[in-house]
Amino acid sequence: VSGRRVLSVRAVLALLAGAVALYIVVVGGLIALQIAPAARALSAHSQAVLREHSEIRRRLDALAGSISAVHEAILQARAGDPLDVDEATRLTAPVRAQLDNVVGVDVSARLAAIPAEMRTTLAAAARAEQNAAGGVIEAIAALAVGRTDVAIERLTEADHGRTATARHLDAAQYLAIADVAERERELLEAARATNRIILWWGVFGAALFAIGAVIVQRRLYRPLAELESSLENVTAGDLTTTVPVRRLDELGRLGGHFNRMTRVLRERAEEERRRREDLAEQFGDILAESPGEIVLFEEDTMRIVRATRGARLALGYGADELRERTLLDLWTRLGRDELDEALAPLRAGEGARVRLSTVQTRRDGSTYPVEVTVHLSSVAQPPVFVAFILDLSAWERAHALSTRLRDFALQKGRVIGGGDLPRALAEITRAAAETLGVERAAVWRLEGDRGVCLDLYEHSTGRHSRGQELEGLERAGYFDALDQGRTIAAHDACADARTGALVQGYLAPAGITSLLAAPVRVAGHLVAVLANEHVGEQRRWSAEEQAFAASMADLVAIAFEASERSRAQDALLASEARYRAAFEEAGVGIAEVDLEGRILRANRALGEMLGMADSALAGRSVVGLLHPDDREADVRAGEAVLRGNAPVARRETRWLRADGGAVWTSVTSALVHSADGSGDHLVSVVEDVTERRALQAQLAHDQRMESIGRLAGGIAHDFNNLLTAIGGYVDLALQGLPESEPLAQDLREVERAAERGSELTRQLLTFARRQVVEPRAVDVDELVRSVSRLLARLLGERIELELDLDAEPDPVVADPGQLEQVIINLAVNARDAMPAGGRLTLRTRTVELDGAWAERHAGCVPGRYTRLSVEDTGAGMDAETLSQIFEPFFTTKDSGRGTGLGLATSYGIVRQAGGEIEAFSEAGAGTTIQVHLPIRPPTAAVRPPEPRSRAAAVQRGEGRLVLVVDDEPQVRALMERALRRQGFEVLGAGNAEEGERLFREHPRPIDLLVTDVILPGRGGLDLAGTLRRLRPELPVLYVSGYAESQVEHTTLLAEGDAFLPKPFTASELTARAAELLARSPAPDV
Amino acid sequence: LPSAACLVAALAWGACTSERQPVVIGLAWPEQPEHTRRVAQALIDSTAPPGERPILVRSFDAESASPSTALENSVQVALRMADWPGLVAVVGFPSSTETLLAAPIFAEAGVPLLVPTATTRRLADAGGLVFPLAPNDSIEGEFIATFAVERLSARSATLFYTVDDYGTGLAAGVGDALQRRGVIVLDRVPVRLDHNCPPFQDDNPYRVQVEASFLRGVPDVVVVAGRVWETGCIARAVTDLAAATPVIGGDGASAPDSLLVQAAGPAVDHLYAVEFWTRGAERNGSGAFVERFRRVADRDPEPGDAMVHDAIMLAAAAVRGGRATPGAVHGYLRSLGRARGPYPGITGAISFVADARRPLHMRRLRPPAEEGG
Repeated sequence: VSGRRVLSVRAVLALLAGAVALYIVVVGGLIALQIAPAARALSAHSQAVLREHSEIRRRLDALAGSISAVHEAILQARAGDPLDVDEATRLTAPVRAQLDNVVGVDVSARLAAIPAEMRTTLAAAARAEQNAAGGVIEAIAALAVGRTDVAIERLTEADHGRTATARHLDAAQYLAIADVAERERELLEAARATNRIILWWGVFGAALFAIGAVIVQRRLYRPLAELESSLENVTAGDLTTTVPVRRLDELGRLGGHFNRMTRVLRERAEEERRRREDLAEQFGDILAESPGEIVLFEEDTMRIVRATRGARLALGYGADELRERTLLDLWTRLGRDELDEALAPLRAGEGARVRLSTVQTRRDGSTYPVEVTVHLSSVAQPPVFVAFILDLSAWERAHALSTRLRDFALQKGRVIGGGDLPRALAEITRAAAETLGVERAAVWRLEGDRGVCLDLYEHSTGRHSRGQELEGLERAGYFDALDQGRTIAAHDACADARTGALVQGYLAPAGITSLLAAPVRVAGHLVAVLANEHVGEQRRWSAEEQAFAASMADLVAIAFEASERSRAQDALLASEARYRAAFEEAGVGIAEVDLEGRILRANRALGEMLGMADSALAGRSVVGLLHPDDREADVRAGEAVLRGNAPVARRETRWLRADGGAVWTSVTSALVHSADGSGDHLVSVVEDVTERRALQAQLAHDQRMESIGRLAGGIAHDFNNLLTAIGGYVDLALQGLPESEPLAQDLREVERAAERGSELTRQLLTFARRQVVEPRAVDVDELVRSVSRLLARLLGERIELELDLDAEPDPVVADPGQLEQVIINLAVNARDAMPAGGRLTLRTRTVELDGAWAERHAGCVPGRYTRLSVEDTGAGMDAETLSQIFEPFFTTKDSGRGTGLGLATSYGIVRQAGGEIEAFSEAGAGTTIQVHLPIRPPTAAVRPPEPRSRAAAVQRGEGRLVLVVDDEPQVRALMERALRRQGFEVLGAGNAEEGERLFREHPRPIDLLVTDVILPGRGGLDLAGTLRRLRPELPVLYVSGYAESQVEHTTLLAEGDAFLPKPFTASELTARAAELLARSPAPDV
Repeated sequence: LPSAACLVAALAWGACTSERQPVVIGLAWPEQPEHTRRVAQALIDSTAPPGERPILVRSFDAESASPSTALENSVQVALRMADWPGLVAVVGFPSSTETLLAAPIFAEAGVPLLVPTATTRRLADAGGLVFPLAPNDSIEGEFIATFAVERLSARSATLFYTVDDYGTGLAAGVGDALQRRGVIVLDRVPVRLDHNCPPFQDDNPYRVQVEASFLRGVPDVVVVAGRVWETGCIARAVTDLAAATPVIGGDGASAPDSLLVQAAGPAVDHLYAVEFWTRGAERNGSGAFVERFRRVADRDPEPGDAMVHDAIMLAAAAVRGGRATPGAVHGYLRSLGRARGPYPGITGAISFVADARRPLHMRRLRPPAEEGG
C-alpha cells in the first residue's frame, strides 16, 4: 500500500453537502431580500390606502345623508315648523359622532402606512370633511334658533366642504393608483434583479456540481469498482487477486484489508489441503473398525476399497474378500446402469448425498433390505464413494408391531376407555396373544403378594377365563423385576431368576417356556401385569416385541383408569341425585348464591317462603330480597364467610316476600368450594322463624304483663294495709266524735280519700287478677245488649253505635259486672279515639280456636270461644303504642283525663276469666279490640264474699276473747283497739307461732281467731287449721289485702268462718267479729 | 491593498468633512419663527465652547421661498426636513394635528421631535421619538376645571371646541374633570376653525351656535377649547346673550393681548386664558431671553415663543458634549429626569418621565391683574 493521508470520504461528502446547502441558502436569501421588502411595502401601502379611502368615502356618504336631513329641516322651518332642541340634538348626533371619528382616532398611526405623498391629500380631505360636518352642525344650530337664512348659508358651505372632500378623495385615489404603480415597478425591478442572481448562481451551481461529480467518481466509484472486480475473482477461486490502494481513506483502508484477507486465505487453503491428506490416512484406519456398515468404493469401477468391521460381519466376508468385489456383487438387484444413474448427481457435484433402497446379498446368498446413503468423499485422492448402509429388517418388524398397536388402539379405543374393564381386558389379551404369537396372554391384578387373574386368553382355544390366583409373588422377586424395568423378557422362563419362582406353581403346569411380562402402572403405582406366555420351544423376545408388550400394558393401565373413572362418575351422579332430592324436597329454604350475591338456584321451600316460584329466584340478587334494615349486617356476615373469617354465618334476618311483606328467617350460610371449577358459592339454608319469633314476642309480652301484675298486686297489698290503718283509725276517731265537730268533718275527708285510694288499689288488683270475682254463666249477647243502653248515653250523639251480635247462646263463665266494666272501658276508649265522631261496632261471634292460637296465647286452651269485638273508626295507634296499651298507668290521653287503668283492668278481668284480649290497630285505620272468652259450663259458683255494709251494726264484745294475728303492727294495733273499744278482750300476735303459743298458753279459751291470711312463715290458714285441731268449733275471721288469697281461702272456708278484705273500717271489723261470735256458741268457761 | 488604502482614505476624508459640517436643529413653526430662531441661535452661539462643532438652528420658512406649515402641508414640510443633512432634532409643530401627521416621518428617519406647545394626550402614542414639552390636555383640563369650580364657583358649564385634535382632546379633558367635580355640562358644541369673525362687528359666525346651545340652559361658565379667534368670538357671543358669564380659553387662546381683545371685544372683561409661561414668572435665564427677544423682535415674547425657545435650547444642550447624532440626542432626552436631572428651561424644569409636572398659569385679560395657576 502506498498512499498518503487525505480527507476521508465522509468528510468530502459532508463538504459537498454543506456547499449545496450554502448554495441554496444564499440563493434563497438573495431572492427573499430582493423581493420581500418590495412586496411587503406594496401590500401594506395598498391595504392602508384602500382602508382609508373607503373610510372617508363612507363618511362622505353619511355626511351627504346629514345634509339632506338638515335640508329637509330647513324646508320644514320655512313652512312654519321650527326645529326644537330635541330634534336638533337628534340631527346633530350622527354628525358629531362622525367628527369624533375623524379626529378621535389615531390619525397619525392610521396614516403611517400611507405613502407620504398621499398624506397631505388625505389630511386635506379630512380637514374639508371636518368643515363640512361643522357646517352641518352650525346649520342645525341656526335652525334651532330660527335663523333659517344662516342655516341655508351654513348648509351651503357644508355642501361645498363635502364636494371639496370628494375632490380631495379623488385626488388621493389617483395618487394611490400612482403609488401602486410605483410599487409594482419596484417589485418588477426586484424580480429582474432576482432573475440575474438566479442565472449567475445557476452557472456557479453547475460548476460546483461538475467538480463534485469528479470528486465523487475519483474518491468513491473507482475504488468501489476495483474492489468489486477483485471480489469476483476471489469468488471464482482466484485467491491471488489484489486491489490497488492509492490513498489511506476509508476505501483505501478497505482495499488494504481485502488484500490481507486474500493472502491469509491463500495460506489457509494450502494448510487445509495438507491437513486433509493426513486426516484421510488416519480416517481410513479408524473406519475399518467401525461396527456400522460402511463401504468405500471407487468412483469409476465400483470396486470396494474398504469396508468396516460391521459391514464385513453383516455380509459374511473377510476384508480381502471384499476388496475383490464390486458393489454390484452386493447389490445384486441393481445393474451397473442403474447404479451409475443413481450416482450421477454426486459425480456432477449437484448434491452432497444420494439415498438408495435395495436389497443386500450376504456371502451365504441370503438377502436383507437396506437403505444406503452415498457420499462422494474428496478426503482421499482420488475421491471415493462412501456408502452408509442401514439394515431395514429390524425396523420393518418394529413398524409392523407399531402399526398393529396403532390399529388396535384406534379400533378398540372406545372399549378400552369406556370403563367396562372385563371387556377391555379381553380385547387386550386377545390382541396381545395374536400379535406376539403366544399361546396365552393374561392380565394379573396384584394384591399384596398375591396375583388375581382378571383375564386369560388362550390362543389355541380362543377362550377367556379369569379368577385364578397366584400366591407368593412378593417373595419371588417378581415385583422387584417389574418395578425395575419396562418388561421382563425371559426366553427361558424356568431358568430366569426373575421368573424362576413361578415355575412350580404356574409356568410348569401350563407348559410355559418363555415369558414376556409388562408391568401395568396407574398413577405411578404397579397394579397389574400383562403376561405374554409362550408354550413350546423357547423363543427370544425382540426389542420391538418388548416395546409392543409395554405399550399393551399401557393400554391395560388406561382401561383400569377408565374403569375407576366410570365408577367415580357413577358415584358422583348418585351423590348429586341425592343432593338434588334433598335440595328440592327440603322443608327449609335452600339457596346457592354466587360470590357476586346472585342466586344460582333456590329450592321450592324458599320460593314458597317468599311467595314466588323458585325458578323466579334464580339470577336475582340476594341483597335485593333482604329487608333494607338488615341488608348491611347480612352483607357483612356473608363477606366474613367469603373472606374465611368465619366458617359459617348464622343470622336471624328478614327477607322480603313478593307481596311486600317481611318474613323472619334463620339463615345459615357456608362457603362451598366447587370441585369442577365452576366457581365457589355460598349455600344458604333459610328457615322461616316468623311464627317462632311471634310466639317469643307474645311470651315476652305475657311475661311482662305478669311481672307488672305481680308488682301492681304487691303495691296494692301494701297500700291496702296502709289504707286499712288509715280508715280504721279514722273510723275509731269518728266513733267518739259528734258529726257537728269540725274535726269530724276533717276526718270524713280523710275517710273519703282513703276510700278513693281503696278504689285505686281495687283496680290494680283487678288488673293483677287478684280481685274477688263472682263468676257465673253469662250470655254475652244479652250482656252487650244490656250495656248498650248505657253506652248510647256515654258515647254521645256524634258516635253511632252498631250492634252485630251473632254469638251462639252457649254461656261463658265470668263475673258479669266485670264484663260490663270491660265493655264500658273499651267503649270509653273508642269514644276518646273519635273526637270528631264515628262509628262504634260491638260484634259477637262464636269461634273455634285451634292449638296454634292457644300456643300463641299463654294460658289459653284450644276450644270454643265467644269473641267480642269492639271496633271503632278512630285515629288508630302505631305499633309501639299498641304494644303498651294494656300496661297499667299507660295512657295517651291528656293529663287528668284518664288513670291509665281502664284497659289494664279489662286485661286483668279477661285473663282472670281464662280468656284473651287483643288489640289490632294501625295509625289512621281505627282500632279493633277482640275479647275471647272460653265457652264452658258453669262450675260450682264461687261464693261471693259477704256483703260489706257500712251500716253493719256494731255490737258489743261482751268480754269475748279474740286472738288477732297480723304481721303489720299498725293493722294489728288498729284491730286490737277497735275490738277492745267494742268490749272485746284481745290478744295480739305478729306471726302464727306466737298466735299458737298464746292460744295454747292463755288461761282463757280463745273465742275468735282474727288472722291475716298471709303471714311470715306459716300462713293464716295453717294457723287456723292447727288451732281448729285443738278446738274444732273455733270461729275464724280471715283478713287479707290480696283477693287471690281470698279466693283460695273462700274455697276452703269452713262453716262459721268469714273473710274480710282489706281495707276495712273498725266498724266493719267489729261487726263481722260480732256476727261470727253470734253464730258460734259461747264456750264454757 | 490599493482598495483597502482607498477605503481608509475615503473614510478619513468623510470623517474630516462631517466634523466641519454644522449640526442642524430643524424648526418647523409657521408663525413668526424667525425672531425666536434668531434669539435661540444667538444664545447658542454665545454659549458655545471653543472648538465646538457649530449648531445651526434652521427654520423651514427661511429655507423655502413658498413655505407653508399649514395643516395640509405639515407632511410635506416633514418630508423635506427629514432630508436635511446634519439634522439631529426638530422643534415643531404648533398644533397637535400637525404634529401627529408629521411624527411618523421623523420616526421613520430616526430624528427626535421636540414639541413645544401641542397638548393632545395621543402624542404619547406617536412613538418614542416624540417629546412634548407642554402638559397634555388631561392635565390642562384638570387645571381649567379646578379654576372654574374653585375660583368661579361654577355649577354648570358649556364646552365649545374646535374640531381638531387639540380642541377635542382639551374638551374631553375639561369635560371629564368638570364632571368628576359635580359640575353639570349642559352642552358640548363642536365649532369650525377659521371662521371669518371680524372684530368689533355684530356678524359673529358663532352666535347661532352659542344661542342654540343656550337653549339648553345658560351655564355658570363657558369653556372654549380653540384658538384665539374662536375663543374671542365665542366669548363675544356669550356676552351678548348672557352678560357677565365668564369664559375660559385654553392654551390655544394664548396670544398677544391685542389679538384676543380684538376678537373678544367687550367680552374680554370676563375672559380667562391658560398659559404655559408668563413674563412674571421669570426664572432660569428668563430675563435674558425677554431682553434679547425685545431687542430682536421689538415686542414682548409670548408664551409660545418661550416654549419654542426652551425646545431649541434643550436640543442644543442635547447636541453638546459630542452627541451630534439623532440617536445620541434621543438618548440624552430620554435620560432627563432619570440618569440626569431635568433640563432647567425658562418655562420650568423639563423632563419626559411619566410623572413630570409642568407649570400652568391662568391669566385674566383685563384687570384685576393676571392670576397665577
